[in-house]
Amino acid sequence: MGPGTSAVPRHIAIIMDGNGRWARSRGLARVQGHAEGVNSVRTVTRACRRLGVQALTLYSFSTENWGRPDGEVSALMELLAHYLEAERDEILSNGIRLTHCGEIERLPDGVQKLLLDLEEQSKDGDGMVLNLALSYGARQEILRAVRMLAAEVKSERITLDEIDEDLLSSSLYTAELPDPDLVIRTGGESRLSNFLLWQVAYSEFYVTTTSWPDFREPDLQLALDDFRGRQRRYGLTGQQVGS
Amino acid sequence: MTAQQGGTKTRFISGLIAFVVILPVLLYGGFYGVGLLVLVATGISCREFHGIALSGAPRGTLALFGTLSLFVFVIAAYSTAGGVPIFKPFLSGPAEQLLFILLVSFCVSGAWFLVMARTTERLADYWASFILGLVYVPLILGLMPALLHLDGGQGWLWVPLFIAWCGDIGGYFAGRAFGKRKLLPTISPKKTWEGFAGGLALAVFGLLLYRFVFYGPFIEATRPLDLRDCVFLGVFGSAFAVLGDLAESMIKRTHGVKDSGNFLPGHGGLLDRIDAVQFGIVVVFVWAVFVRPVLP
Repeated sequence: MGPGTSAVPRHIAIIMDGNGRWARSRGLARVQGHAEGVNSVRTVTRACRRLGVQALTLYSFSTENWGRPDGEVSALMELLAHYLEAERDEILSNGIRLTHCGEIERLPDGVQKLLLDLEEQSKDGDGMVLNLALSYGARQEILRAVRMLAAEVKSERITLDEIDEDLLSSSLYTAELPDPDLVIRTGGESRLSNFLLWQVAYSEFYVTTTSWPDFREPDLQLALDDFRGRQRRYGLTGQQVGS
Repeated sequence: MTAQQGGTKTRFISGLIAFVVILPVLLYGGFYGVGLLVLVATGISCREFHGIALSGAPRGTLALFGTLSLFVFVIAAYSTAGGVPIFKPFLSGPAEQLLFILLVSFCVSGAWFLVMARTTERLADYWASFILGLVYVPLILGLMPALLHLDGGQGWLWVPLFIAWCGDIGGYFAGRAFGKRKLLPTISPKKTWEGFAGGLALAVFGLLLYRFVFYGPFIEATRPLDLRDCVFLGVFGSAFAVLGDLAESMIKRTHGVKDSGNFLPGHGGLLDRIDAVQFGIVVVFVWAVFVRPVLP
């Protein structure tokens, strides 16, 4: 996608924040907020596929989230397992290709197996890529890529000069995806929180105070309307892009 | 709560047995364990309520009351978990589910008493009692397992029990020592304002004790009660516990019954035991779900 404006983003990445606060404002346990958040995941995934978005990346669980209380972490893992089982049919019948980014070796074995099995079964899906960021951290991802490339140089498979933006991009978890055009963060915070740091260089950023469990199709439409109204200049002037 | 069949010894032993069965379930049973325990209690209570208020109703009323109670109970139990999962495709959330079952129950029971009528005598009373029973027994008791999904989790589960026990004990001793002015002589000749105040004070004290002694080592809770919780719940909880006690007396007296049943030897019926807990649940639920989150 070149400079200028465009109708629908090819790749949307979402930082799904505000589950805990949503629950607390209703007197509920944090886990209930995550459970309701799964309903938003379902709704937003459906809507993106219908709108013709090519890829949707969901920041589901960061490397830093492992530091949450044990009860919450295990509840999140259970929820993830449940989600993968419950959404299996919908993912397969809608031609969605499931992928992940992050250190999934750290996930419980059962969850890993569910994830990898469903990725394998859905690999021919041509409807949309649903990319789950699980145990993900962008700095860790870049470090991993740098180490991989350094090892390649050391073993003389590539030379130092061959390392360029494209090669680094293709060493990241997201190698096969276009860079996100639109990053949405729910829950009102204006931070990237270690999410896709390399890939978001030219992404449009949309923050809403709506919590993730309340973020449904109308909210997605607002984000897309906002995106449509923006001029993406990629460092050029407005005049250059407009002409 | 003045059953005296069987004497003190029977009363003590059966109380101990009940406690030994209930304690581990409340501590380790989780949502399903607690849910099942309270469901059994709800079944027994529904039967007792039928025995008190619907005993002369047409044959089959108990079966209808039990069936609708089961739905109401399950919906109430899942009310803090986003609704009953299997109903969600048709009724998206707890509010929709609850509204639906109450409207259906209202119409179905009305139709039932009309169709089954042999005489018109007391028919509308039965209908009214039927709806009262659905709110009084399965709706309120269903909120007990629902407390587990709240912010604070298992910590809430014990609060209605503590309030009821402390209110009971404080009321008894303060009433015996200082009791002069009658609270509501028409319904309960023994209760006094002094006893009421004693129950209230002990409930606040008991909750503070609960907060500082039992939280952490014995009870896993993500968010402990603060001082404000203890004072509010102690005061309003024990006031409503007394109301619960009197409300059950009112139902029994209206129907000329002394004990709600004979579930626990020496203690009378189950409803006699849990009347105060029921209203305690209501206060805890309203506080935790509707009031506490909007306070600064």
